[in-house]
Amino acid sequence: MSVLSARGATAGYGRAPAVADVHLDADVGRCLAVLGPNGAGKSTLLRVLAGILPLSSGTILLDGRPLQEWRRREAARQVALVPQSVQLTFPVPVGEVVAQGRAPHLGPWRPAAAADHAAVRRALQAVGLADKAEVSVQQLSGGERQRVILARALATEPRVLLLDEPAAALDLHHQAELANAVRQRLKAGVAVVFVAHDLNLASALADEMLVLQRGVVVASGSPRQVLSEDLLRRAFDVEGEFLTRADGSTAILPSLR
Amino acid sequence: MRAADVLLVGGLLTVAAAALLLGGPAVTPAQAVGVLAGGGSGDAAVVVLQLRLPRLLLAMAVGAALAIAGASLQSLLANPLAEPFLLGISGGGAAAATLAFVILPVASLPLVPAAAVGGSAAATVLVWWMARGPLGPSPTRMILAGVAVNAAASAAILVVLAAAPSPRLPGALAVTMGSFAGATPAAVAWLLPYLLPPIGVLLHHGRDLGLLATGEESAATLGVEVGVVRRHVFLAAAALSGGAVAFAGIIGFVGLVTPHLCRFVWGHDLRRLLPRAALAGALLCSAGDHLARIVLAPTEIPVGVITAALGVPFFVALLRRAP
Repeated sequence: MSVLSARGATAGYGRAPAVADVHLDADVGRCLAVLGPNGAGKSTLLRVLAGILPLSSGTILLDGRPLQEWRRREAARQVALVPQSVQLTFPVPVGEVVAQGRAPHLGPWRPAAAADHAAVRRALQAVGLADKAEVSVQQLSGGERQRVILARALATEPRVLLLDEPAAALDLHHQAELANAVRQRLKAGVAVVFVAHDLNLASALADEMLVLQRGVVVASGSPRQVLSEDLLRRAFDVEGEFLTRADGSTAILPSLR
Repeated sequence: MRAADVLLVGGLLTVAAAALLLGGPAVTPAQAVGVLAGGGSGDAAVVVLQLRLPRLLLAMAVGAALAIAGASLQSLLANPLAEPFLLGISGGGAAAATLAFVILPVASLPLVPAAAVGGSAAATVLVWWMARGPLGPSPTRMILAGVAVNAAASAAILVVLAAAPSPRLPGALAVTMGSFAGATPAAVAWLLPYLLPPIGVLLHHGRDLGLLATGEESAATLGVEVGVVRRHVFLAAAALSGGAVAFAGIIGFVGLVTPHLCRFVWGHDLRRLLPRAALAGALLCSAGDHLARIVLAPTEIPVGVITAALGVPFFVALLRRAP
């Protein structure tokens, strides 16, 4: 069942659209990976899906209703975006940044209740930062900051989770932890859309894939259908090997020579 | 937390008592209480009700206005150096106020504060427009834009002062020099409409402002109507800065120093921070004004000198720490 869908979504920043005529569905408990070279429009697509970049044509439907008809705060309760980075202007403690994820549920005046504090605690645990709640975000490493931003979105407890290269700054242990957190959200019925450069992480998590090139969808389907040596050549201009692991899953080895 | 709140309120009460009782003709506590309770007459009543109380209230109101405006702008713009003085918002208000003071007929002089608010709003929009690069507003561009707006405002003020007819000159000049010496009961009453509604607006947006400190896009994903909040906060900051300038002239750095000191004590939750920043700004300005009155008594130093003496070293320290 589809929670969030794009129908002919076209949007951009100047004259030329950064994404053009994109159709996709984010389904309950399913993970859609968005792949493509740098500048293909992947982050733009996530902004459009989050409703923070206006469309020049097409629609985004949340529960079948156009996203622009939703009140901003109500939409933010349903759809959470994890951007690649956020500005951390002041030395705010980690716990307070993660608690910002509850803001869509609280509005301007309501104080946080026990349920809000519990959601924040769960989110901190899911990214392994429970012991750093009191530490200033400005003292964290790049990877830890990325996990704080992820935790902030998890604390919202949205029905759609949009992740923009959430693993870019993470070491292997925390990539596995991220994959785990995403799987748990999927099991709970959350729809996940996930921009990735790491094809192995994408194929480990994704039920479906979509490849963008210059703002246009050039391939979509199951990982088995989409991932191919031909795709690596066409979309990324690299050669690569596909290896079958003992458990039957596929490992992708791009040639970096 | 509690202890800091008690210190803040205690400090305000202490400064209030000192400002009402000390400096110039002595007033005893008993006389002051009697006058404030509605009784009392003669010299003590004149000194307390006509001179010292309006001056104290004006200093507190202006300090509160500048501090809460500074705290809000710092979060809205995700820029620790943002404040009405450095961004040229006070300067824009002062330029409009001096011009209005010189060209308006005497009967229309109550419109001077409205002109100041207009000037502050224009300066705000101008700084915003200049600072906005392809990737959103950059903190560095914003400070440079403030330098440009301040320079333009100073030039405009000099032209107006040079052309001003001599009877209007002292009043116009007062706008450029921060001081609470001209406080009257009427001025305090006139100032309130420029202060209370904007402060209410800023308190209402406290949570939104905390989210905006992580960037506009990030705030939008958390449900903030960024455009609406930005308009409200700009307008409120312009009303507060313009109102403050019209009644007390340009007073720098209160909007910069106070919020940072308060962040240090009460943390970064704007719903907790904003009311305390207002009270702390009131304390800083009233204490600074009291010092300005008594340090070289009977000569008064402009209160702007005191706030600059506190603010400039602080500004340098912040600048050195900024990424």
